[in-house]
Amino acid sequence: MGDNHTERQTTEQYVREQYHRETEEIHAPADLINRTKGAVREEEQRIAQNRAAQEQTVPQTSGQQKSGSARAGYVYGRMQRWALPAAAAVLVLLVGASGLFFGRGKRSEEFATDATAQETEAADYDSDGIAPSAETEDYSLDGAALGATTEAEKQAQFERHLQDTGTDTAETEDYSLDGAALGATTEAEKQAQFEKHRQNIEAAESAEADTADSAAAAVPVLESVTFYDKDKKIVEAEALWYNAARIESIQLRWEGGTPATVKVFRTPVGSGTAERTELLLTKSIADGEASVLLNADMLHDGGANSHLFFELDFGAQVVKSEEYNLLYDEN
Amino acid sequence: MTTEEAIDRYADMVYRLALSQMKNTTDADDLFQEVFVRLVSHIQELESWEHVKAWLIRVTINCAKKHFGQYWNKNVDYLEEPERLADEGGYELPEEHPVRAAVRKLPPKYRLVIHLYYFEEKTVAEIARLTEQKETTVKSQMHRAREMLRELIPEQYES
Repeated sequence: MGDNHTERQTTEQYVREQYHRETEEIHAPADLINRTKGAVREEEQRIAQNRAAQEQTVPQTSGQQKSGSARAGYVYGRMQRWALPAAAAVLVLLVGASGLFFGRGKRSEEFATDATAQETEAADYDSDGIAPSAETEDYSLDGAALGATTEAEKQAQFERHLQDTGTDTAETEDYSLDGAALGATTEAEKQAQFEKHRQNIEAAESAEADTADSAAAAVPVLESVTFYDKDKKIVEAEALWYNAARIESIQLRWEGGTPATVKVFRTPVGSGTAERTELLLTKSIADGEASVLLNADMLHDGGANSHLFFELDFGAQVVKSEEYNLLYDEN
Repeated sequence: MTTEEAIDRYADMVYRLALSQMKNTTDADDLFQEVFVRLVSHIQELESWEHVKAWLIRVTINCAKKHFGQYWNKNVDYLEEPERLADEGGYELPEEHPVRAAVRKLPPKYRLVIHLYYFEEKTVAEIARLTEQKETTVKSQMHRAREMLRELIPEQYES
């Protein structure tokens, strides 16, 4: 018996050395090495180009942040649209109230002039760009005069306006026209800015929607688990039990990414057996793979009936399969 | 460490392993190239030549499995019978290589453990790690492979 074992070891050693000698005579062909080095250089260049492209993407990302600020600006601008007219209206009311208290003296006129400027600005934000009332037209008159003349001229114009009501209408119309023109120009700019901001918002919202869609599409899912026999035929469950003796390979297919690893677990049948769960195999998966074919040798140890399940580690998420009932029956 | 240095150092090792796994030299050439091209993006992560060597062996095995998986999807046997593999030949081996010729007739999983054990002189534990199998499975495969070799080349065992 002992001699037999020694003899086996000797012949085994001989075959091993013989295989070693024979294999040592094989060398990688020089042209293959050269071709491979060429391919490696191309791959290195491709990677370098990708890195350069990524570095260029960084400023573009800052650009995107800029558009985010633009969006924030839009929100701020939108706030201004309602806040400024409201503030102007409040000021007008205050001025009116001050007129009641202090009469129509020069000081109250100055208040009125300030209010007029505010109201003019508020009118600029108005969507139709036209002063809505005669009172506003008067204020517009004052505001236009304020913008166009010195303080003395303004005072003179104001005095003339009060004294000469006959020419008032024409002058008012003129000023109104000027004011309207000013309002229209400003409104056009504001409208252009508004359109620009609106487009930015739409683009950002569209990008967010796209991201959400792609995130939804990238949810990792274990699509199928299929057992095959030695003839590559599908092993079907019989009364919900798979015969492990027939299973030669297991194919798992998934979607929504590539798992780093696929793990195979087995738990003996029965209650309170969870702590006896056994890790049978950990398989690393290459990037981009959508399926894996596992050798089912691990199931051929003739063990007791058990439940088999798989865990796919997608990094952020571990996907666990359902449990498959296994029995072992060589017959 | 650069990929080209790795090619100079481990070209023969990868080529021998690729040839032991693939059915013909064309497939072995493709596998050889694929492995080193993949190394380009990983070479910086590997700390020593020993790590590079282990990485190359592991990736060669995985790429070969992937290749057989593709074959498998085309209804060509992965766990093929020795006779079928012998019929598909692929490349001629010199007559003075009887053991290699016999090993080539083994199914891929047996060829792999025999090559790693006989030529790369890996232990069962190392082979288990490289092939991501249990040690008992590797031992079982080694045992079956030896039995098959004994049947294929009885004269070598008798000499």
